[in-house]
Amino acid sequence: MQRRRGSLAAGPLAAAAMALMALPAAWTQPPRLALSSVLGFFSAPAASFGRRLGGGPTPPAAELLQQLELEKSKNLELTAANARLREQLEAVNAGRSTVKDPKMTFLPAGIVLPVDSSQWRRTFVIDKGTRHGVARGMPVLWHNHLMGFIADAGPGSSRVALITDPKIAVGAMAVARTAEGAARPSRDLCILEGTGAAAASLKWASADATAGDGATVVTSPDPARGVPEGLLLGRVTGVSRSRGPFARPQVQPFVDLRGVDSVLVLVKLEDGRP
Amino acid sequence: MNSFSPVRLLAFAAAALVLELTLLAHWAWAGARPDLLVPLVAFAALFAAEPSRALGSAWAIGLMRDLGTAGPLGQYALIYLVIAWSISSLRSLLFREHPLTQAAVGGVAAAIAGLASAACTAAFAGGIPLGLVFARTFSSALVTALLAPVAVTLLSRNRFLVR
Repeated sequence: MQRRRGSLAAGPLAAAAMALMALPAAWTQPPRLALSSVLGFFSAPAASFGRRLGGGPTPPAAELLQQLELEKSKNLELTAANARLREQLEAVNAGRSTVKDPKMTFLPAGIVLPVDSSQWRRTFVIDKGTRHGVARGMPVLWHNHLMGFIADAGPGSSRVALITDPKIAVGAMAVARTAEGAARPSRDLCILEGTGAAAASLKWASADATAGDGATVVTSPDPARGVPEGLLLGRVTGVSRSRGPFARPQVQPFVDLRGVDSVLVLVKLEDGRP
Repeated sequence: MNSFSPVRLLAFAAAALVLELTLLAHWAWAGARPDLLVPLVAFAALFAAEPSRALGSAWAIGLMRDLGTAGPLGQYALIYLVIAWSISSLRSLLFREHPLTQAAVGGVAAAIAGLASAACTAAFAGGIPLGLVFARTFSSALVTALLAPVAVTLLSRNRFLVR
């Protein structure tokens, strides 16, 4: 009897889940992104609290000493802010060295949530959204490395799909090293495709191509998606050769998301406005 | 006796998800992250007074995981619902108090969740190499199987936490 009641309850819930799955991502992602931002907002003070707890209790001190400590901490904060701004400037300069188009501008964004809750997707959430001029499909950079593309944009936050996400494919070309060690660009165009693993793979690379071990992989120009030529993607770490005419080189991205707390969204300016 | 408050269980699930996405964000074993929500689904299915309560809780826990992913909304709600329904159906055959049963249920449930979500991702986003699917699902199932008895025993022995 109880089992039958369970089956009866499962039907409407399964139907509701399938109805939700049928909804377009444009409808479901904005509220989800808003909730992710709230989660990120609350997790930051929690992490800070954890660090403070690890530091032990504050020793008692005279008022002047406390004032001095306060000023010191303010100074440290300013130094940290200065370092962060300098890092952003360096990132923009590095990006600008590759992105020559003056119509393309960089929008700095902080990382709110560094992972996707599904272990098969490789996405993260940033604190900039449609309110700041971010739109779906915009490339996301770290210095002159292509990190990924905006997968969904909410009003105040957006989800970025990394180049290793299964949904991402981007035009790429290998820059092989000659015996003398000099870089030799190859015109052997292929597609870099994410697989959900830590490394992406190159599709349609001919078996006699130059994309051997250690070759650097960069973007090929794609004006339709706003991807300039020469953005760094990763390094070839192995080539699996099958019977067919195409090899499948594995590409390990240069940038590890663990060491990154801000990225740049590449925004195209139309008449001086994003 | 064998009851819990779905609201309390959902609060636990929210805390587990926050832990998974923040402190354990970059912790992975052989590329797989432990699924902290599957043991809660297993607990709900093993110890609910009524199956409908277990199914509702599993569905809501799945929906919670759906909030943090780029995949379609409802994917994990459906997967966790099917898992809870399967466990509830087999409950009369299981010795639910035994840690080995809990580990087996947690491991198998994590494996099913991993394979089903991989199939969903392949259908909605793009292909994932089969070798990666099996290796990562196996690692995740193993870690979850180790975690499940701890979580289920903690909640079943200290029922005041979720009542």
